[in-house]
Amino acid sequence: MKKYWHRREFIKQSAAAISTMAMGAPMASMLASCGDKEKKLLASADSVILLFMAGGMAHTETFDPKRFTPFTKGMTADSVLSTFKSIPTVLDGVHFSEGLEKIGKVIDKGTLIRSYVAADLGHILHTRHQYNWHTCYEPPQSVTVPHIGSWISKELGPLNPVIPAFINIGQRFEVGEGEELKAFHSAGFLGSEHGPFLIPDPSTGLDSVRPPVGMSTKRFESRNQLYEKLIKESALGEFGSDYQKESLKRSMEQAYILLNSPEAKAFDINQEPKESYDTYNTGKFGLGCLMAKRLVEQGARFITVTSEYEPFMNWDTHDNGHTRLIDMKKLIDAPIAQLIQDLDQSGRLEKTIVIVASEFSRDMLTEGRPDLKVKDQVVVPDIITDMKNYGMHRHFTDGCSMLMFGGGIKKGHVYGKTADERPCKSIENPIKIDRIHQTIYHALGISPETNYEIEQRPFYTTPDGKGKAELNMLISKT
Amino acid sequence: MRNKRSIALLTLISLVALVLLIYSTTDFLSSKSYSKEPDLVKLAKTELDENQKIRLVNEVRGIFAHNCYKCHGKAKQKGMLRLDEKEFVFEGGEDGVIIVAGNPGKSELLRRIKLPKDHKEAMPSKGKTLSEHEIALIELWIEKGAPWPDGASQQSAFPMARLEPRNPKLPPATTGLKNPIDLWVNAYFDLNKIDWKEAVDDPAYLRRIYMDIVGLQPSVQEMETFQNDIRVDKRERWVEKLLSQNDDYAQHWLTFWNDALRNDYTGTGYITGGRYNINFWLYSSLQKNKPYDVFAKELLYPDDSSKGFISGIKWRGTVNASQRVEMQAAQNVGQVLLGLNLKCASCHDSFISDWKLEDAYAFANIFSEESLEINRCEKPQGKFAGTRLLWPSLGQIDSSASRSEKLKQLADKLVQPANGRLYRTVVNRVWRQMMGRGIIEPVDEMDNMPWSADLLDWMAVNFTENGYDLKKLIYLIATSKTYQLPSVSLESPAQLIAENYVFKGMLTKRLTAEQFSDGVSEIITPIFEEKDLKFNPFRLAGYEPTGQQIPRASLVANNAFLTALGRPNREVVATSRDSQASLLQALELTNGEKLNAVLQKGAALWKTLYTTSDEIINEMYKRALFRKPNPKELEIARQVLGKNASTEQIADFFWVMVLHPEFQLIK
Repeated sequence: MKKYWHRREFIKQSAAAISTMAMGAPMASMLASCGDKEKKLLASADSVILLFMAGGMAHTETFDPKRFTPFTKGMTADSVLSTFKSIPTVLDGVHFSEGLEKIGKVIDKGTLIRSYVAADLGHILHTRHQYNWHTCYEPPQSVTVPHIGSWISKELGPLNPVIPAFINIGQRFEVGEGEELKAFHSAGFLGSEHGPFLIPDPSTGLDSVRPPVGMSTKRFESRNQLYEKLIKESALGEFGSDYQKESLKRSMEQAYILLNSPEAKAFDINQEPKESYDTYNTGKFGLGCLMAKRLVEQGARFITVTSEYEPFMNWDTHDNGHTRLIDMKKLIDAPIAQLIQDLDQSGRLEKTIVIVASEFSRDMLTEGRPDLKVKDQVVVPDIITDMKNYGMHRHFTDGCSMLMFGGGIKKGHVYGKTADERPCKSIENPIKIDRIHQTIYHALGISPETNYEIEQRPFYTTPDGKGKAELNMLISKT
Repeated sequence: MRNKRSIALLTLISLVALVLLIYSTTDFLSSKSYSKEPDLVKLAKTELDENQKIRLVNEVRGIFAHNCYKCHGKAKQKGMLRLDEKEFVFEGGEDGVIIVAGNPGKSELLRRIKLPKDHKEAMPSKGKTLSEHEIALIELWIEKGAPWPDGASQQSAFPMARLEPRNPKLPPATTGLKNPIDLWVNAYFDLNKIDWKEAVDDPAYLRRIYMDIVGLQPSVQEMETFQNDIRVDKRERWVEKLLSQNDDYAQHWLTFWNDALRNDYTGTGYITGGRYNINFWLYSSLQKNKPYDVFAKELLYPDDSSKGFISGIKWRGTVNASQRVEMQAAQNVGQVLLGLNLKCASCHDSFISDWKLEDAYAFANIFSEESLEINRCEKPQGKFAGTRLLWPSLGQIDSSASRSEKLKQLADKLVQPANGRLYRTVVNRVWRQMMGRGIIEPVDEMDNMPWSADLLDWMAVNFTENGYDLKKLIYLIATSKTYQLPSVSLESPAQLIAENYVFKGMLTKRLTAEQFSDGVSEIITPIFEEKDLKFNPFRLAGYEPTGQQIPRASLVANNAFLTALGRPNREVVATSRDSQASLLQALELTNGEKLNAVLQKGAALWKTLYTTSDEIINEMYKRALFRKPNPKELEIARQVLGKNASTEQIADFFWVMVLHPEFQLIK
């Protein structure tokens, strides 16, 4: 099946109306995309699953291991590059860090990127880098910038009209830096219609798409009937044709259809066979992967599952890095590998890009980039005597690993390289976020020229429309 | 390809535009006017006079500026071509001249802009294609010999509204019309051949003024009292009464100002100490109806309680030069207080206005202790811009003074009555809040054409003469016949900002997140509790709170429920909200915990208060829609509720009523 890039709606208005997009006013339906609408791009993918390792996943401890230095009391900090052994993967000569054996077995189905370079944003704050990763823009910006999921929702719409186009699984917003997290979980100027459908906890995800807790289906239906009947009988004739009334009616209908649809069951991970459920069930993240699998098979467009960002938790290791990573790897290894296998088996992987990424990497010594160090946040003793200091505790931006599978991404390919000795930075094909985004857009058939006039300025999917797709990562389209 | 006939038609259309423009009597450079249609044929055949030539070339320059400067201007010269100055335009690019005066068919420029978008030589190669009207205008200009009189370059290629106030003479009072707004609208209606319609009935009017002044639903009792009030000036009296409910008023308008001033109880920046709230200052300013000149002054030359607005948000780490806090201040003051866009000019000379990079830096320097080095698109230029207001006629800022002293000078100079723009901007914003659309749209682009310059200018002057009193302004609007006209529905939100918009009355408005929450709180049971309040005015010493005391949505932290209903993330300025519903919103309202829990709780309460289903139905229609159910509605509701309704059945009925378009929309 070949898909062509298309824009869902082009409101024919005078040029003036298009160019006078109000400041601070997200009026989705008023936006007209200014991308090159005639230029058709062949799409190799139609959906995306982004698995986000929030908090900074050290490349040397995961997908790009270096020389292993076991813990000994009195070891020097600068001697430690990796705190885990390397293990072979299904690809000749490609090693992962111990604990990622299962992903190592499926990496022949995707591309391993070892040279992602995060932005230079000065004194490091996780949420700023996460904002940058998800929007492609560096905060702060003078307008609210859309999440990549919102761009995709806006340009391609839902794949299955019943399922919201952009689903976000696993992040709570009541945690520290919650407000900063909200800043990029937004459709911004594309309008709330394209915002994320939030499922903070996959185990109760069904609650988000079924009639309110405690309400039977029968009651839910009769409530809806009452709504329709009463509105029909009210003096609505005088309301005439009115976009506000129409949009209210339409959204209510859509909500009802979703809540009543068989597809809503995709949100119910308890319906999964026990064996499969157990494989995925390494915790909240694993169950998120399971939900993502079920959703993408029912036609979800963009799903992101996060290991969840909470300051100093999960991948955000300011201490005990080695010990904590044992658990983090247990959390991700089986479900990610299983997701790839399941999608491959169902044929969905053909059309679905699965990405595993983090906002930056970590190192024991370097904070920031070796050539542009920033203020340290963690005290690292020169001589390590305590296990709690054994691990990658500083924020490293110059060499991060990323995995991409499916949807036209090359198979069994390794992209980029980091140095084998400290500072273990990118030395081949460094790649930044705008190219990553544009590669995804390219695979989805979204033109690099896609932009909207916001406050009279063109606003592109990547800054100034300059992001170039990395065609070396893609199977060439014919 | 377009055929000859349609080109002729387009030329005719453009001629109409040109003629209207030439005959225009307004102070704006724009192709819009209300003058009568002149003799087209006559004009097409006559020579253009000097003034007409200037007008024409400036229209063309405007098109170049908006669409071409980005690649063919000062910053970049693709194909060695510049279109920003006369000399360069006629010089052409690397392939030779692009304009053959008098001969559109031989002009390369015209050929390129007429190519289909996917043609590799089509122009503009990036961004939007020129409209047919724009192409026709350029064609006409070339046909007329591409006139470019020397005086033309002195005139800006961009429309720029006048700065100073203007006090047009009020049309004489006519039968039944006294309110000055009505006199201006009457003149506008005459011109546009629109008839006055009858004022809305009492229930509609009362709900409007409650929603617009205090953001609440009138109670059933208040509605009855109002309907039974037989005084001829009862509408004026009730507006006055509502305006005197100081806390209710403050708690409603707080939402509008929090959005605009980027102020919130929680949000980015607070945890790293990079942001300050202005909660107390803002609430008390509204509660005491602080004169707007003082209000603006205190934002510009703040003490600790009001410094949050110009302090901006300081993120940890390094930020782009165009987003440093001083530049944020310049942009936000420009946008919110002055209705202009400095965001482009904070990075490079603007393509959409005459503001230059240096203007933006000179203005930003006022907010800075030290002079800022100019950065063009993030590259330091080794240059400094001095310290200046955007308009020299407003006076000078002492560049050697301390930040505090500079801010004091800024505040004094911006609020002087000579700065008509400050007052037009706020008057237009208040008008928009009440009428659904500004006299100028978008409200942040005050150089755009108003649908009635006389009305806006007069109101702005009147506002300053009335002591900068926002409540008096609201009173004037709310008591006008214009405000009382039946509301107008639009078929598409694009019509809101369409160039050919014609005012016929206020637009149908949708309840904001706060109005909806407060409405449910009032008619059913409170959604928020006192412990949810992030700012509790009732605990402030100094005055007794007035009016209803439900915990208002404007005082609680943003949450999933309010976000879904459209409350913005106040990290950046937000001066208007999405007027449409969306699926995510509908989902929140359909199965979200918050609303369903409240409806359930309310239903349990009502079950103890009323004995029959009919009572519940009638009471609910009265409270939510201020009317009795019609016989069919009553019958349908009865069928569902039965004789002895259960809590669940009542809750479901509530749900239907609060999602009813008659409740959701303000007519």
